[in-house]
Amino acid sequence: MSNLSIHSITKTFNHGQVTANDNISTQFSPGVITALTGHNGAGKTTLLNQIMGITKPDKGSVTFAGHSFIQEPSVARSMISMMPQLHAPLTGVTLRQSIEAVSRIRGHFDGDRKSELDKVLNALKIMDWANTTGEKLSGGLQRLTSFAMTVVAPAPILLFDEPTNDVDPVRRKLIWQYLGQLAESGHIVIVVTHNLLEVDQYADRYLLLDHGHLIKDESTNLASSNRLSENVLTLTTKRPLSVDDFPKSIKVKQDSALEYEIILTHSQIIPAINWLQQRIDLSEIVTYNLAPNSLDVMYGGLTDGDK
Amino acid sequence: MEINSEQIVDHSLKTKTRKFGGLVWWSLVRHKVLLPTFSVTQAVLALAIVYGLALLLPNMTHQDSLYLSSGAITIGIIAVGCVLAAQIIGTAKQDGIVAYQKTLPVDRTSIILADVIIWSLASLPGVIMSCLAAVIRFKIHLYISPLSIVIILLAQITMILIGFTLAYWLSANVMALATQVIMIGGLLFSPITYPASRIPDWLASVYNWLPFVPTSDLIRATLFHSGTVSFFNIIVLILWALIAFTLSLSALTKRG
Repeated sequence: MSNLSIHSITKTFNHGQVTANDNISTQFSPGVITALTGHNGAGKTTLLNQIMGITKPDKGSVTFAGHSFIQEPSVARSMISMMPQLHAPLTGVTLRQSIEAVSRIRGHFDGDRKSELDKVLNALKIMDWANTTGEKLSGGLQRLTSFAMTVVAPAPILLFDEPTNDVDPVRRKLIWQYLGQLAESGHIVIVVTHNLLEVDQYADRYLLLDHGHLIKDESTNLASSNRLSENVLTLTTKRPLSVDDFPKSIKVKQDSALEYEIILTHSQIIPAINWLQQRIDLSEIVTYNLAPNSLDVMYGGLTDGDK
Repeated sequence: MEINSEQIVDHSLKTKTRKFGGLVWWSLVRHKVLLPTFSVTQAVLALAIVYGLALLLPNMTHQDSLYLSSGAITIGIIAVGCVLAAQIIGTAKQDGIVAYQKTLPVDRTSIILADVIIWSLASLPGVIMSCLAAVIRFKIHLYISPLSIVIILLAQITMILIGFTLAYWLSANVMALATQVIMIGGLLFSPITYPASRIPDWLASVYNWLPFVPTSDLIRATLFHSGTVSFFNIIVLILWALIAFTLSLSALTKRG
């Protein structure tokens, strides 16, 4: 199956005053789960909407299997299933009916439908609520229903905008497992998420957007191996420490008055632990944690922090 | 599993029909709770016009009863199309249903047609109740014919499309105001429940170009055989339907 190709996509709003995304080019391949990450307003949802054909870019192209999704939005809608950021419309309709509606609208045959519906309901462990109307479902169950509506008759390209928000930890895992199965069966899977732990664990590749620019595009395996060359020691102390209190030649970042983050190479770990032991003996340390560098820390380093 | 993209872009009539059926089914299950409520509302409205407004006329003539009977049907159709449909679609817009529909693999015309079918069904009980009330209260004979049925359908579709246009293009507050103006104007000020000769000529001319009075005149001419069927009125209704359909379609096809 073809790749989904995005070339030089640019979109501005308010007569060019707000740049949603700027000259983004990338490709999405079947069999790969790609996570789209970035701050709020970084341009992730706009990019999904441009792929879907709902938002028209100022310039650039989105092509798949010889079709331009910008010129042929109806083809885009046939090729894409999209889970929106907001809950799908469920009021007055049971969970099963909502999923069945999308299956019917996607043109599935009556014979296939029941088994397909049951398969999704069982996979997400939501069969108990199948006959409950949308307004009576919790936020997490509404999110799961919206997810099920997207995957019940899956199109070749699947777009998900924050699918695991509000969902309990057990079913979050089920969602990612389901995405993995879809990718394995040849679908292009693109997931917008703020949950970097899940990206680290389940996505094959991640794109990092910042102020409409694509600033990182790499495999999560590569990112993991790169990150293993660095470690992070996080500390909470009883009193504020000065730069002179720390061993020389290590980089310290103060997160708050009594919280510190120290990036260590492998060779710095042993001296740092010895220093830490001394400070523990002096009863200056409240808590500490030593772990390999996380995507979370890298994300903050690549973007401009809280802005 | 091999995914064949060309199979997914299937434009066969069978697939299109199945998808359209799915859209109608989804619209029906979403509105199934509302439809009985609308039937009761329309029944009350029909009785209020036929029995209530008749109390304002101590010396009821045959012409008065014809106007009240055709007016009840017309106002029922206006209420469902321009008010209830507009308000429900407006709520759907706020709830994200309209935005969600835009992502589905169906053409925009199908979305409009599916809702027109559901809302036409929703306004049928009102038409039937108005006819029954008129027959019982005034002992009027109904001339049910293919033409009168076509006129009622045309009126329903036109009003529903106007309601959709209001909902798609106006903000929630402005839409609520517009629907109230239409309802109050229709009920009190437009020559739907009384002859146009009672209002100034210039105002009657304005009403002739709006869809409401032509609807009333056509229903009176076809269903009650009072007056002649005016082609001008039919053209006015068709024009309003076409304009409203085009505006609704452009709202749904508009891209950000």
